[in-house]
Amino acid sequence: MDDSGKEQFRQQLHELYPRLMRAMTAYLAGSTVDPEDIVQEAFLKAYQNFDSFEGKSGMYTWIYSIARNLSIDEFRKRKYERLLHSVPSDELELASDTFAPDEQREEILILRKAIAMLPEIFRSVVLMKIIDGMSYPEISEVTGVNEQTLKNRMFRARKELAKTLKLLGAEP
Amino acid sequence: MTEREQLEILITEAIDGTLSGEDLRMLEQKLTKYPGLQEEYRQIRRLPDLAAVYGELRLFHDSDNIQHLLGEFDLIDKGKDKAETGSEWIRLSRYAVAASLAIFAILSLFYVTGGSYTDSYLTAEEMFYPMEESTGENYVLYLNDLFEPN
Repeated sequence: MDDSGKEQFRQQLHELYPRLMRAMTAYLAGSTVDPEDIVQEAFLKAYQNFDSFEGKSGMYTWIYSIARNLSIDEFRKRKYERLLHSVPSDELELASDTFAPDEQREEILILRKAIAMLPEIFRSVVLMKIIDGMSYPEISEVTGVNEQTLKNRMFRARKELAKTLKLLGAEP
Repeated sequence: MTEREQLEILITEAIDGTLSGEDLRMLEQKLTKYPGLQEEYRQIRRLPDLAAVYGELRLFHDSDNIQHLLGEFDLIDKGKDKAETGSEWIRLSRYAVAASLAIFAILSLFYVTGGSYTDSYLTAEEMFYPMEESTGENYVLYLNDLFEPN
């Protein structure tokens, strides 16, 4: 990629940043890993290694892959995965939240907790597809997993979510 | 892939809303043969919409952080320029050293291969350290004269 690609990357920062920030906030919910740190590091790493971006995938899926890999490295370091089940719902509240009635707040926090409790391979697919609006080919670019397997994981993730919501007292 | 796994994929497509009406009817008909899977399908259908769980995109727009990143990008570019200039200088120095060695080797070759080696030819060492009559040698001659029996 030449300098025009880098310039394009800089110009797209205003669109890429909030999207990745929301995605990583959802992905890292309930963990001690700070999404802001991951997002900043991902963008810096991407810019430093911009020559390795071949343009075969979209810029967003490329930066998403970097952020996800950085997060997974952090998970490994902190071995936090097992702790997610014990995270109180309140801790999943964000500074940006604007809940209307209290009931809505409760429902959203339970849903966040249910998503956070999913194993990483299911959680990442649910978040990329539903929260971030990626297509299956895009998710495949990020994860390196074929579309059929991703759809199968999505089925299992939704099944788990239904089960977890039942356990948390919010039966679907 | 088993029929059950194929049905699971079709369920995902149905929930994603990408299945045609006819395919949806076929799926629901096939599910009657799998009561357990049919129940899971019903539960999944009842899941609330997760799309809005993390709020709108604009809430995550942070101008300060974006400006900070742009500043960092500038620093990276400046750092790369410096590194490139440095590596260019190192590369040129290497060429200069290589050229000097090559010239030295060629010159040495002229002296070494210029006919059979005899005392009358200067060696490379002699070029750098020319032989001079030293005081030491004169002293040795003097001693020889002194002790030589007449």
